[in-house]
Amino acid sequence: MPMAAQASNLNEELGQVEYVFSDKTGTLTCNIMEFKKFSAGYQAYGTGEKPKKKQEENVNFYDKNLEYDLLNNQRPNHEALVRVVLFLAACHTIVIDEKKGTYTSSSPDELALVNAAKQFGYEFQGRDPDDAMVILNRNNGRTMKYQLLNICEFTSTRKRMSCIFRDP
Amino acid sequence: MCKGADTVISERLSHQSRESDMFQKTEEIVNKYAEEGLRTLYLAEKILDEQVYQQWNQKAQQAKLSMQNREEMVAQVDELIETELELIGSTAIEDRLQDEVADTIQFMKAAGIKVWVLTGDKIETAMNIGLSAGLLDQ
Repeated sequence: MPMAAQASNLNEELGQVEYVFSDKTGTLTCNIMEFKKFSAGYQAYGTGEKPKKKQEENVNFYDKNLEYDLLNNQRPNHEALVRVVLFLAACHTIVIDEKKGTYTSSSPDELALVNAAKQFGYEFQGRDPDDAMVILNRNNGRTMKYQLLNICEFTSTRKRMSCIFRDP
Repeated sequence: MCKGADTVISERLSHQSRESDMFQKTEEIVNKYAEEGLRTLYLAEKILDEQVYQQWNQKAQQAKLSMQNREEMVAQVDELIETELELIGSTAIEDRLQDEVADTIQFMKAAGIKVWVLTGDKIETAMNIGLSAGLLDQ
């Protein structure tokens, strides 16, 4: 659409501008988080290459070693990897939108983490009435429940959040 | 399980975890992520004694009910349990720049407008974003 100038005083005011303030996340950036890489134990995963398989939302991840290490318990990094993926599936404040069946969270970063765990086969399925996190392991079809005891919430000063679970 | 900014988690690791090869390795990996402009997190865990938890939980419940400075009180109590952690891994998330951000900033600079960056990001992340946004020139 062509623009028409109603008055020219704006130009003069613009000429006076010396400082411009802008925030970054969501303003300069798209605020669309994509899970790309991670590390478990000594091992870094995620090559940065274009993924070949269909990705979960907010995930853009490729590494052929991931599946080997995750599914084969003989691999040296298997245990450390499972620990991290379970962490991603369990430690968060995401709730499931009952109607749509989608994850909702105030933090787009958390959505990326939980969707990554889902893509790796550890699917967060919501909290049961006793406040346990229900996680379905699609690799073996088993459902796991982690009783959530407490959450130390994220704030911008704390720059961290914690979940406390009962050891199953 | 505790996740957060690398500096914040590092301060709360056990001596053993902090001094481990695994810590050094993770630091290396995460610095690389940050240089790529990715948003990074450290993941850490510890096993709590039932009794320790119960005692802490009483304090936590009290803090949550406090009428004044609740956020501060809760943060203080949370601090007590988020100690002696063991680092288990890290994550890297990308949040891409919107189209034409770099061009826009170039225009502003060409117009003689001073551009400042204030950020809580890791220095490596900030540098990288600065470069890709055309804010910094090497």
